Amino acid sequence: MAAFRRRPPPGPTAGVRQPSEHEIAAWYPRLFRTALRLTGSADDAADLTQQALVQALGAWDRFDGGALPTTWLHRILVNCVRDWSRRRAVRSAQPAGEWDLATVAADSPDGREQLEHREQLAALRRAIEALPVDFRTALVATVIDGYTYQEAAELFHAPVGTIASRVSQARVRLKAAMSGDLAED
Amino acid sequence: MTQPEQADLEERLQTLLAGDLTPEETRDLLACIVGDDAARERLREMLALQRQLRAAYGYDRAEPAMKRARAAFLRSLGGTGPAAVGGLPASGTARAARPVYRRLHVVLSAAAAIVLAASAYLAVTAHLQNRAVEKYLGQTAEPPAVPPVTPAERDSYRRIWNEVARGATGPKPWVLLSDGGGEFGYLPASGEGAGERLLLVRCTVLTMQGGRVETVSLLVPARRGLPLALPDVGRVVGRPMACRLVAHEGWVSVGVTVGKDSEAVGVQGRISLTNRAVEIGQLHLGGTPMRIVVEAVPLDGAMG
Repeated sequence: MAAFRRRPPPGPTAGVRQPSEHEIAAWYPRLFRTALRLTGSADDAADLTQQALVQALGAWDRFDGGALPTTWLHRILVNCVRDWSRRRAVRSAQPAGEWDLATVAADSPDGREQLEHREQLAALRRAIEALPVDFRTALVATVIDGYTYQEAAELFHAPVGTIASRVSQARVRLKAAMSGDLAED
Repeated sequence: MTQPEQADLEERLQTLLAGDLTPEETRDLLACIVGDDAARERLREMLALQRQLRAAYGYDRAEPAMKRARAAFLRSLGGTGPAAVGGLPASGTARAARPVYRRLHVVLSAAAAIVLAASAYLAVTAHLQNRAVEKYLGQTAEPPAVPPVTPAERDSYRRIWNEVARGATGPKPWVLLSDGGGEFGYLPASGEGAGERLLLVRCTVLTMQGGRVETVSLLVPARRGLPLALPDVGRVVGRPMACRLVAHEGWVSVGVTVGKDSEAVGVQGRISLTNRAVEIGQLHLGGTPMRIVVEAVPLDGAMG
């Protein structure tokens, strides 16, 4: 048998590199949706997402690879939103919680069909808000914001299997609450 | 499908929807989905729920704004490959910059391909679906010419592992075998241990004609979520080869890079634990393409 030598353990920054444009493009929607939930404004979400990415990319050499890049970016983004909320205290006296949901304002079309559709969506919102908090936050992070289960596991300090289970149970409860309203259009 | 398999499938589908799979991983996953009614139904449900939930809060209406803002930000990076920090814009300019988003089309082509591929498989009728599946399978690459691990090789790997692990009373070791000899190190301690399976991950670099350039073999416990990053596991045309793997129940994510710093090129893929060689991608080294082939083979018997 060949002689074996022991390799010293790698340093904490081994393997960490600047992200590619492709990776940033893939991460962007998650961060934007998080910012959108927290601000309720697409324009503010765009500014805050850009601000967070600029901060992160400028300090990438401090990213030690101990977490997934997206969860590190999420923390930076939430801090940016907190600073933004403080600066705009008059307009936003009660900044949204990290996993609260906010309805994005938009002009709604009229008409009976649209009205029924809006009522369905309102019922769905009520069903989501009635979920236990662990189920709701896991659902929001993955299904709405678009984080992977592994990223959600890091965000909530829970095993991946627990996140998968919470999302699955949330889905079952929503289905029951909506009694078929979630079927494909 | 068992519950762990179902959970694993859901996790992979969510990763697909998040746009985090490489084209090769996407191809492998879709290849699994096309022949599995339950998996297709699950993906359809996940897409429907995602659409409904985002619509309930108006996020679907914000998608065009997100795409415009993302395009503006990516454009501001300057298109120099890895994000050019020196060329970053000052924050707060996304709203003012409304350029033509030609480059977004290129950047998002992979994401669009995912959506199109998933939609194609979900939308067609049974007849058309069969044709689509046949067409898709016809596009997959020929299996790489790497012989499967033989029973004798398995015994040999287990003997090597036992030899190295014999002195380890606490953390479990990993073992690297290459033409140049062997190395070992230790994994972070975890609650797992008894009953863990031993896993062989073998990475082979081939020329396009099938000639072997480098082979490295890693012996590791098949521990869920185990991350292991090893630089300098081998040499490919004079450049250092690095390997990173994350083991899960039923599959392993493997990344292989060749070269250093800004000249490094790499591929990443997710493969099932079978005795089958899978090409996870190709690297171009100085204009010469190389095939990266990986096998993830559970070696029989628990490690104890």
